[in-house]
Amino acid sequence: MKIKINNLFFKYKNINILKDISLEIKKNKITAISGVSGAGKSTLLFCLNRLYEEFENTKVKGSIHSFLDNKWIDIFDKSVSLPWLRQKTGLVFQNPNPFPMSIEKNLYFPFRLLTAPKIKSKNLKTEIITTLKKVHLYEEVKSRLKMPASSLSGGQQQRLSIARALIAKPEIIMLDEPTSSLDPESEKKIETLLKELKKECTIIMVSHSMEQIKRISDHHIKIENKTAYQLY
Amino acid sequence: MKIRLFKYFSYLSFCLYSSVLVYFISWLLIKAENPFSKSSIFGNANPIQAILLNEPVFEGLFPAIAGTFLIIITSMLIAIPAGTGTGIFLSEYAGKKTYKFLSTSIDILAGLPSIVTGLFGFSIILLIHKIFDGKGPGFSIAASGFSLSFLVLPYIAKSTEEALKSTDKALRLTAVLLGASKIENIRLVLLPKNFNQILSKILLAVARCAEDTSVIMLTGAVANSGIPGNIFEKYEALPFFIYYTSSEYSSESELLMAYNASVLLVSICCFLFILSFLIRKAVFYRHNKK
Repeated sequence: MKIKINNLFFKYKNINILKDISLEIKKNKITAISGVSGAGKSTLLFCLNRLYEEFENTKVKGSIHSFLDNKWIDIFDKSVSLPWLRQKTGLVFQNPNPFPMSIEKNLYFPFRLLTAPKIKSKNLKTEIITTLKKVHLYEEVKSRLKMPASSLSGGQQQRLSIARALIAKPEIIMLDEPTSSLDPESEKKIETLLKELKKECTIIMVSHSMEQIKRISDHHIKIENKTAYQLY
Repeated sequence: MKIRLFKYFSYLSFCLYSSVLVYFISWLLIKAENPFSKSSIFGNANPIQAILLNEPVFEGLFPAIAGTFLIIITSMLIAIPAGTGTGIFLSEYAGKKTYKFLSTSIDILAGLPSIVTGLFGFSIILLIHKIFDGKGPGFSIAASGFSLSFLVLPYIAKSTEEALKSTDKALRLTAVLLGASKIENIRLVLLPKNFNQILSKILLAVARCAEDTSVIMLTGAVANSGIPGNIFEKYEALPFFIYYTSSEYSSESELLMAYNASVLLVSICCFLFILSFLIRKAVFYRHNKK
């Protein structure tokens, strides 16, 4: 088990978005979350790394425990460091959003942060190459690592966003409709990548496509009427 | 029909504006005589010796050009950190009430006539004189730079605030998701992302500092002082030189100097606008080149 959610309620501007959600998410599996637009799929992801705290008028009740650094952590505990929690629970958005800097610097970014683990520059270069290989992007960009990340195609940018989240060594990686804005070929590449990544991370993915969920997920959660149902 | 009328009105406005601009620039160029020549800038002095401050310039515009650049630098040294800092505070940290108060204050400051800002600088100088019994710093580059910084601070603050606020919400959250603190997000993502937008506004503010007369005439600009030795001395500046010479000239050659100074001042402002445009293009190209 990687995450245990108990009786989670979430309110935005005093309106119930999620109601009495209790779930268990298994380690090193791909868990897909589906539901109609506005059902609260992304909100559920935002609860898992407390991203909702970046928005005003949000209220959360219940508990979420994540198994991070080999121990169970109550993530709503105020003593839990937010930067650490967010490094351990990575999130990739629907639209790729590279930083306005080079491909290499995008991947170097997490190490520039104060909370980042210290790493020697020689090891850093290796780390960047390894991560790019992991997301099957290295061969495509090896000759232009110093070029702006915005020069990449949509699919490449999305893989770069995943690589940037991965380089911070998360134990859980969440993806909010990662392939919805991509062409079928890029979609296939990301699906292959996710299947490989589950060996080292627990993956939670929001998707609207039932075909995609059937193809790659081990578990499927549906959000309906503000609550969640584990389908398999 | 309405669309066609609107189109003609737009064309007419454009033609009117352009013809005024062309007439104005042509008139200045016709009236001026070799404004970029050695004698116009350095008079009878040796240019290199004058630039090295080994020889004073009595009949050229060099002291006024140097003074103009000195007040630009002094005012920007105050206005850039204060303005960007205020913009960052407004965009990222201010609570609702503080935002409303500070934002209104900045809007009022932006609407103040420059002569009032000059008067503010003048009153500060009088206050310092009173406190230090006439021995403290008075009319000088420092006083003008300080006062001018208040003139342009609202532009820099508002443009920084607007640039930061316009950042895509997903990009704004991405650094946070990687574990960045608020200050790291501002320093590493938001400011670099909006750098060109902020910088181009700063350059426009520089041009505003270069051309203002009301503030400097009340705080330290004089007709003849040569190049100041430090920032606590009086100085000459192109806008004040133009105002003073054109209103008090005693010969045609003095009026000619005013026209030459006008062309030089317009050229400095044009140079700053072109620089602002080029920086914007360069940063855009750097972020988007294929």
